[in-house]
Amino acid sequence: MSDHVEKYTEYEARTKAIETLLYERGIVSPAAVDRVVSYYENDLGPMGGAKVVAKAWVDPEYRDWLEKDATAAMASLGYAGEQAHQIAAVFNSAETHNVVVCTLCSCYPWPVLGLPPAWYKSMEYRSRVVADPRGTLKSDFKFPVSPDVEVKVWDSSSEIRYIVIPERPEGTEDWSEVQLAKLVSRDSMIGVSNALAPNEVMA
Amino acid sequence: MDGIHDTGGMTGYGPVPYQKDEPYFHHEWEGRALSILTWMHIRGLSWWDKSRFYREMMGNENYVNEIRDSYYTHWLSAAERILVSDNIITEDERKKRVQEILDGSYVDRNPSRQFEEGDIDKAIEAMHKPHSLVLSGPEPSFSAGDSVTVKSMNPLGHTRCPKYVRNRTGVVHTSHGPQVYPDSNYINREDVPQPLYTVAFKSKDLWGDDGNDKDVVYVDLWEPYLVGA
Repeated sequence: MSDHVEKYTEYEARTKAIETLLYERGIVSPAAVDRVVSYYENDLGPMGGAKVVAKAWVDPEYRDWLEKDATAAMASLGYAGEQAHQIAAVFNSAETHNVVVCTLCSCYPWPVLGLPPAWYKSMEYRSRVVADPRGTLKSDFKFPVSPDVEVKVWDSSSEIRYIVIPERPEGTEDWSEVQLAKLVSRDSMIGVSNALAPNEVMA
Repeated sequence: MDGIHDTGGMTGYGPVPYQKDEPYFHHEWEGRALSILTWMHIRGLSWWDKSRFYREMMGNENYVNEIRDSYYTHWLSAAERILVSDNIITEDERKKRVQEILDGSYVDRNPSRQFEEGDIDKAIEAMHKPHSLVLSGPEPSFSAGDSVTVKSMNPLGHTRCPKYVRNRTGVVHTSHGPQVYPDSNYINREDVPQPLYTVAFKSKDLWGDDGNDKDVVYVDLWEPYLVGA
C-alpha cells in the first residue's frame, strides 16, 4: 500500500463514507457497487431507442405495435426493465411535435435512452418546457416549431415513461434499418430536436 | 411536499444549460452514489417513492445550490439520510468516516461479506426484467374523455401532483388502472394502489394569456388528486 495521501472532495468523501460503512454492514461489496456502475455505463444507452425508432420507420406492423403497446414492442427487442416497466411512444408528425420532461425530478426511460443528460434534470429545463415549450426549444435548443404544429409536452409524473418517435427524414427511402438508426439522436427521442438529416449523419 | 423540486412553470433560472454530449458520470463518485442507491432499492431498504421524498427533503436552498455541482448530490444526500433515519448507520459514525477520509486517516479494509458473482448477476438481470405496474385496486371512476379538475392541496408528505395543475381542469387522455400511489407508498408499501390517469391540459387553461391556443400538456395524475368537472 502506498503512502500517498489521497485528496478527496467533499462529495467524494461523503460517497466513500457511506459506501465503506455499507461494506461493513454487509449490504454491498466493492464488486457489487462496481457492477451496477458498469450496468449504467454499458448496458443502457440511446442506441436501443435508435433501433426501436428505425424499426418503426421501416416496419408498419412494428410501428402499429409500438403505438398500441410500446412496453411489449420494445421488450421484444430486448429493451425492458427498470424505468420502462410501462412506456408509451409518442409520435411526431407534420401536425404534432412531442417533447418529454420530468418537472418533479429526472424520470427518463433508461432502457432505451440510458441515463439522462444534466440539462434534462436542470431547474431551467424542468421549469420552462411545460410553460413555454416553443420559446424554450427555439432559444435554448435552436429548434423553432412552426405555428401550424401542435406541441404536446409529456410530464413524467408517474412511473410511466415516454419516448418520442421522431419523423423519418427526407431522402432516406432506400436506407437500411442500421443506416436509419444512425440518424436517430438521443435529443430527437426526448423531443428537443428532429432526427438528423442524411448529410448530418453521426460517424 | 411543495418544495423547490416542483419546478413546473417557475421562471428566473435562466437558459437551459444544453450540452450536446457528456459522459453519464462527470465524476466517479456520481456513478458510485447512484449504484449505492440502486443497491438500497435492490435490498428493499428504499424504493422509488421513498427515495424521491428524501431527495425533496434535502432543503430547498441545498436542492438548488447543489444541483449546479451535480444532480447526483441529490441521490447522495437522500442515501445518507435514509441510512441514518433507518438506523443502518448513525450520523456520528457517518460524519466520523467522512472526516477520516478527508484527513487521510481512513484505511481501506476488507468488506464484511463478499457477494457471489451469481448474486450480483441475478440483481442485474432483475433490472432488465419488466413487470406490469397495474395492480388490483379500486375501479377507476373516470374514463378517457371525462373532464376532471385537480384539487387544491398543500401536502407535507410526498406527492406527484405538481402545483401548476392544481385547480385546473383537463380531459382524461388515458385511464391506466390502479398503480402504486406515491402519496402513501413513500412511507407505507402496504397501502392501496389508486387509479392512474394521463390528463391533458390546454396551454391556455394552465397559463392564461401567457399560454397559447394550440399546445397541450399531459400529466399523469392519481384519482385522489381529481374530482369530476
